[in-house]
Amino acid sequence: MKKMMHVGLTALLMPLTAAFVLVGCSSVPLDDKSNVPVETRNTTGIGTGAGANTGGAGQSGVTPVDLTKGGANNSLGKVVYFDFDSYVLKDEYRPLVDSFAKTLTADRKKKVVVEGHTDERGGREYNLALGQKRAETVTKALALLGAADSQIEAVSFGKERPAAQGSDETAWAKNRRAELVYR
Amino acid sequence: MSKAKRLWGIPAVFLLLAAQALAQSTPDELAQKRAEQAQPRVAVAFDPPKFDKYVGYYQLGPKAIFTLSRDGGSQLYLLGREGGAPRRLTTSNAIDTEPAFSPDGRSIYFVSDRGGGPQIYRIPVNGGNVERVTFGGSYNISPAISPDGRTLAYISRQGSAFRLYTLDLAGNGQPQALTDTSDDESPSFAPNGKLIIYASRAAGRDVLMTTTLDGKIKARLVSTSADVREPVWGPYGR
Repeated sequence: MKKMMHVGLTALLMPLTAAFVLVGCSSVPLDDKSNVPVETRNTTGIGTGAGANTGGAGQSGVTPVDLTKGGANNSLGKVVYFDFDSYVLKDEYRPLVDSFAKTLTADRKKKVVVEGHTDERGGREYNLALGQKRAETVTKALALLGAADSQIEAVSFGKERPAAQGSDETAWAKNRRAELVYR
Repeated sequence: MSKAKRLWGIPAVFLLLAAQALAQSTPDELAQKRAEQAQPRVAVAFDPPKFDKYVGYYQLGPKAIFTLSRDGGSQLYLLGREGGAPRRLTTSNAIDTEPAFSPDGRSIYFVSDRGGGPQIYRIPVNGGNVERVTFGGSYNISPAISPDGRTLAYISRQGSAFRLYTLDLAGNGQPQALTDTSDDESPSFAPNGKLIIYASRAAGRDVLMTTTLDGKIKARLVSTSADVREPVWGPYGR
């Protein structure tokens, strides 16, 4: 009898399921999975915890910069990269975050949205949460450096919007990121 | 008891629940109710736009359980069918997500990285002590509980592979790998508890698979170049 109580509820949720999938996942096939043979995975990704995959390829946008120039966001890039399953902000990205914080504290009208992303490995839901943590790692750093809560916002896209296609460490390193976007 | 649903997370401010607590019904009455309740309604409107960045994976049982990021990170919230204010169930500084009711409705299994990497934990539905359930491996996610409450199905990372595993919750059994594939996702038990459906990849294509609980008999239901994800078994296996 208990079973009966819930059948109706579940059944009427079925159309909803479709609606959610459309809204949440986008009905557009993600190109990260369409054409890529997944079995080509590079074994450099195996068994690494935080710290092992520093993903050099992903950091190409970051170059040393003289901070005294101020407003140097362009040359510092706007993307912070992370290790696998990690949301620890690496020291090398402090200048980038500092730079954004300076801009925000200088102009209180400016706002930044920090978008957290993950690589394709692992569950979608867990990656959504992981992306959120990555974004919040950056917004917390910005807040500590003087940005107001009203100026910063953290959002997560999980693994749904990869920056690079492919199923190897080069692509994964580029996708484990938080992007800072002025709004 | 609950034939629970998991729905994908959305960056939205509304959680739509086709609510209406259903009293005991005959099949005819059920059909009528289905027709009457085909229209979703908003059960609760969260605080836009600042606090509720996404409404995660959720599952309906006696109550709705879902993930919100309003308080930082991802935490679990409970909501009765009557709606109202969601009650926060977990209070960690870590990721808490992927909640799933036990079949008796008394506890909630979920994924948390409070111990470092993602593992499956259990908490009583009214709050209380959090118990860790999985220990083998460094990355265990996506819990699903068999209708008899005895078996946990989940996805475990082994090297670079994500595989479907089961764990006997009643005894002190070891985790059992049910597959040798590398991209398994989203297990869901059949209502009779004898099969698990899950998403995987084979030859570059997304597939929906079923397997017996011993992993010996598998069937491929769908194979497509489009995305296939998050399968959930319907009521009565229909």
